[in-house]
Amino acid sequence: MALNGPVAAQETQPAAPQENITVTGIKDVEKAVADFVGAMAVPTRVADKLARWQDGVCPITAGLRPEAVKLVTRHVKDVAAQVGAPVNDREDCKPNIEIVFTATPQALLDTIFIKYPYLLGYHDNSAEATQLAAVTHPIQSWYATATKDVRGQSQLDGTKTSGVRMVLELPQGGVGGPAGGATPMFEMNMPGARVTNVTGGRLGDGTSSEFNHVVVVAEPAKLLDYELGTLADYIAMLALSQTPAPDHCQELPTILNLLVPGCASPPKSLTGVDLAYLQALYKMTPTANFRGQRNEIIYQMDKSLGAGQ
Amino acid sequence: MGRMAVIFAALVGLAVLPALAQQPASSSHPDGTGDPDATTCRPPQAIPNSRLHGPPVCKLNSQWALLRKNGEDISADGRDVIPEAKTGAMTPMNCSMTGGGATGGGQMNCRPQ
Repeated sequence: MALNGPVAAQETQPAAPQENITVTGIKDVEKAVADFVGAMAVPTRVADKLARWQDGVCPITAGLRPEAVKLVTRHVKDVAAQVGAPVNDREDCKPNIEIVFTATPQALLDTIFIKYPYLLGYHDNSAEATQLAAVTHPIQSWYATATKDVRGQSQLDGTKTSGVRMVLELPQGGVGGPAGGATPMFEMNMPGARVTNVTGGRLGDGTSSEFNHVVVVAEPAKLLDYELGTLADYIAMLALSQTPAPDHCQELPTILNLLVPGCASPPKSLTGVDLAYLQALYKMTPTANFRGQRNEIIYQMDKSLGAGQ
Repeated sequence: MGRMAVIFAALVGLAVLPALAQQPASSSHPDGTGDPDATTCRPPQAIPNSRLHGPPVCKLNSQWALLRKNGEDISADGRDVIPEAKTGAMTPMNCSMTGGGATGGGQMNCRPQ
């Protein structure tokens, strides 16, 4: 199946799962896949792993007519189910993907910066938070990630911790120790530190990165040329993977080329490449190290796209 | 033993200094000046139409600065971002003259914008 043929824009049901897809018009598909994954795969700053949903996704959409709200919300869930991401289908599920269409996106982000800065994603200081909160694209996404340790404990990345208290026991007598009496103890408090249980393995330390909350903000006035189905596809891609706002065209056909100025006939729906990427993301080993995860995704995508055959 | 004392003092210093550094400043009208990563707290304010006071509101200076830049504030109950109340002598007013005639003076009516 050729990937560069656009699907009907209003089509909101994602294409059926494709095991073998043929990419046409690209000489070195393996290199193009590696480049695509290199551009798409952004590790989290705390665990240095690729984040994905581990809890069921529960999108909520605001700022559109009720039928459009329903369509976008349902579509994100459908794509999630198709690529193997967990879906929370309960009517009263607690939203963890917020999709907001607003005429004043920067005002919304300013409010997030002031009231819920953790939603901007990991940041070390106010300067980084300010940079994160800048709206630079007509559709943009922000990812609050968490790190799950080997014992399954999940901790939001970048939030203040209660710190770590360490008690050091010094040796009795000898070099650096007192001559006798009770064992000397020194207490050390590290206010910003966190405890993460790891395996100590070289290929994977047992930790994994997961999404805690994703915010997608769209400015309708800048998106008048696009069908809602196309936008829902674009939003689903952003909501299910930590995707940097693209600034240049990808060689492989991807919906992410949609809003990049100057891309020749960008796809108007999720392509086989997009679905292969998302499927690989939700198939990879969550606890492997970043390099291993990236290689797993490239391998899976090469297999799906028939590279090297 | 002297070396032990130095190590001990250093460890105690490590433990205590961050605690001192994290004492938030307090201001009745934080304007966001100073270290953007430092916290400034606004003392509890009276909640409108109530005899109750809200909680202290603590934000980073960078957050207060953005609020002020946008002409906004945090509500007394600490929950919402609201337009900043314009108070004081420099508050712009809408003024109009009523009454009066060719020979007599009228009355100036002013109300805040």
